[in-house]
Amino acid sequence: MKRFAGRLIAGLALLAATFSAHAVTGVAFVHGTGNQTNALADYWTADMVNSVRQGLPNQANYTVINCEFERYMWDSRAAGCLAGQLTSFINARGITDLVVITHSNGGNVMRWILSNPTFDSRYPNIISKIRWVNALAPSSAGTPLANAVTAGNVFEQSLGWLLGYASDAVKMQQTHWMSQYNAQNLYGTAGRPALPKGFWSVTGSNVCSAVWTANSYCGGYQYQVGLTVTQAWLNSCSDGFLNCDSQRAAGKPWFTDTQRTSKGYYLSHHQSRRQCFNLDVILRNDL
Amino acid sequence: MKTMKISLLAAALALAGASRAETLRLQRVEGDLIPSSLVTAKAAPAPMAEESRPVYFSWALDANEALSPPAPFRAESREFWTQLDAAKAKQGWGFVPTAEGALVRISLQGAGKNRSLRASDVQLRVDGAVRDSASVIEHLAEDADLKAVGAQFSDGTLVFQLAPGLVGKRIDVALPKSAAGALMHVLEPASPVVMTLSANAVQAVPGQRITLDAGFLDQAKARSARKVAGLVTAPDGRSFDLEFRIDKAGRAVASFEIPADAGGGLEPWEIHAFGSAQLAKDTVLRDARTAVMVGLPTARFTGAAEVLQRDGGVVFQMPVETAAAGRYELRGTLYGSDASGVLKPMAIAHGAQVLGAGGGTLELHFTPDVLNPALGAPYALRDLNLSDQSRMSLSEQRREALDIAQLP
Repeated sequence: MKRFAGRLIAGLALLAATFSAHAVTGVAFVHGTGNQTNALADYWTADMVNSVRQGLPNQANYTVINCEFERYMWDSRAAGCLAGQLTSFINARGITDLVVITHSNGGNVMRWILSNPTFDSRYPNIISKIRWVNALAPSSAGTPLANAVTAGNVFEQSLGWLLGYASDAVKMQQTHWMSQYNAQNLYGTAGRPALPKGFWSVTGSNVCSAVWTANSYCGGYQYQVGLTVTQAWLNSCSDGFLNCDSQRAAGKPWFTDTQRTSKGYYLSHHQSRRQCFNLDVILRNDL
Repeated sequence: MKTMKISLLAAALALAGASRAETLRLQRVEGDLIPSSLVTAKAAPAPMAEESRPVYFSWALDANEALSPPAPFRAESREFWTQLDAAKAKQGWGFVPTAEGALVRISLQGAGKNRSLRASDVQLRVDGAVRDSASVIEHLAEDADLKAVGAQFSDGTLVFQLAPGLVGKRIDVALPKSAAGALMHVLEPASPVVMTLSANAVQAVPGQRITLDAGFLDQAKARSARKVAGLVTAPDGRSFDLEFRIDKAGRAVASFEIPADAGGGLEPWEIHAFGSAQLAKDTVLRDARTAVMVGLPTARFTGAAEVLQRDGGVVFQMPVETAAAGRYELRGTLYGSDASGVLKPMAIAHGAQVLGAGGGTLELHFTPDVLNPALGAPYALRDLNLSDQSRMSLSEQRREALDIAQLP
């Protein structure tokens, strides 16, 4: 019950603002690791975005971010790019009430902006417009898979031929690196100051890959096969890419997949950015 | 008469705008990061936002959410890596699983899109007897499956999970058809055997000696390490050997002095330990990693601080010395006392501006809307950080910076 109280208070504040100042609500979709040029088609899918934005009073008030999230979160091509696109959106549409929906590492880039408001003079205005951030499967405490891919500088230097392409973003999401950032550079984790705006996490808690169940196919069955193996790297509660405790490490938990999805289906890491099991409707109703 | 009214109004506005300042001295406590001298350094290499305007921002904190100093990361490893030359890869390399569900990942030297490892390339022997892969492997994924879900393993990587029933048996993994070397990574997610590794600091400065502690646990009970070696790797690529000494309790301890020429930035220094422990007749291998951030002391507080009221809020002014021109940031958390006299967090403020070489004054602005009227005197400013945004580096940190009897 308590976890809803914060959203209720923020919601009531918004309601008051709506009547007193005619709030203009908008929604921004912030992708995860990767360099995106068409995240609408390649990352979220139009079905997902179009469904969610039906919750807006003016359905044109949405933006899908395309940035270089292979970079470190603080890089001007990551957080700087995100700040630029959010600022343009806010200014162009006159947004006064912004809901930000992030997926995976997009939550870290957003948290960089929220945690470091003096780093860029555009940040304070963005923060002031944000109602809250809905962080879908955020990699707030990193993932052991990033450790495995990167394998540390030692292997990276001597065995570069053997190892995968470990971008800055993947290196950054190693668990021991994220621990450093959460301790010094980011807010919102246990014992640290809260973020200036709500950061509500949605946790995927398992992966279903049985070929005979329809829920394995939402978002593409081919992804479920890989997630089943990557899940073995993780704890018993994971979405195939992130442990549940990493997804819940920052901000406050909004819900765990089975609490709100249709038929209590799990949301794998791939499915938590797609129109699966009523997630789009849950997000739509939150606008 | 009109002139007099204007003068009175101006005086009233001036009084409302800023009141008397109180001069204080910054406190220091054990564990603070306080530079004894300053260094000059180049700006951070990554493309950064080149912000030139002063920016101030503050927000309220929940008085009931206690804040605590960050603890160093404690790695818990159930995995190890081993490099196999071409002959060894062909012949096979063995280990004894300590738990069900071990994952084995193999990356082949020279592998690529046209030369990927397949399940049929791998020969598995259980206690010396060659076994059909299907009877030994439960799940298997190739690089394409892994990349599709965002796990960017190298081209040609093969990952499989061992089937149940193999705990305590020797598993040899061979690539009989291969003429190349390989890297093998074994992770036992359910293993009771864990190697821990931690440093004694989250943040360090050049010249500081950090202590590293490694140990083995078996079902949460301490076990003696047999041998532990390690490396420290700097963000610039340099690496330094670590010499671990195993004490009477079986823990491995090492220390390392951060070189005086260490760079700053937000890429941490990595500590990598390779350990082994003898459990019954089997040797268990583990690799663990942790990290320490190294800050550059390009600026420091002079130690003086002023607190004043401005526009209904509270402003802290802190003079700083700087070794080079750059954009510097101050951040701190304001505490107030509750009815029972216990200090509770009230608000946090950040302030940044460009300063020239030599120094200047930085400010924190706690605006009226973030001040909690339920909290009163005495007040305190805690977790005061001075950072160099141009070089992405923490310069000074004082945990209990100021005790303030009364706000102006």
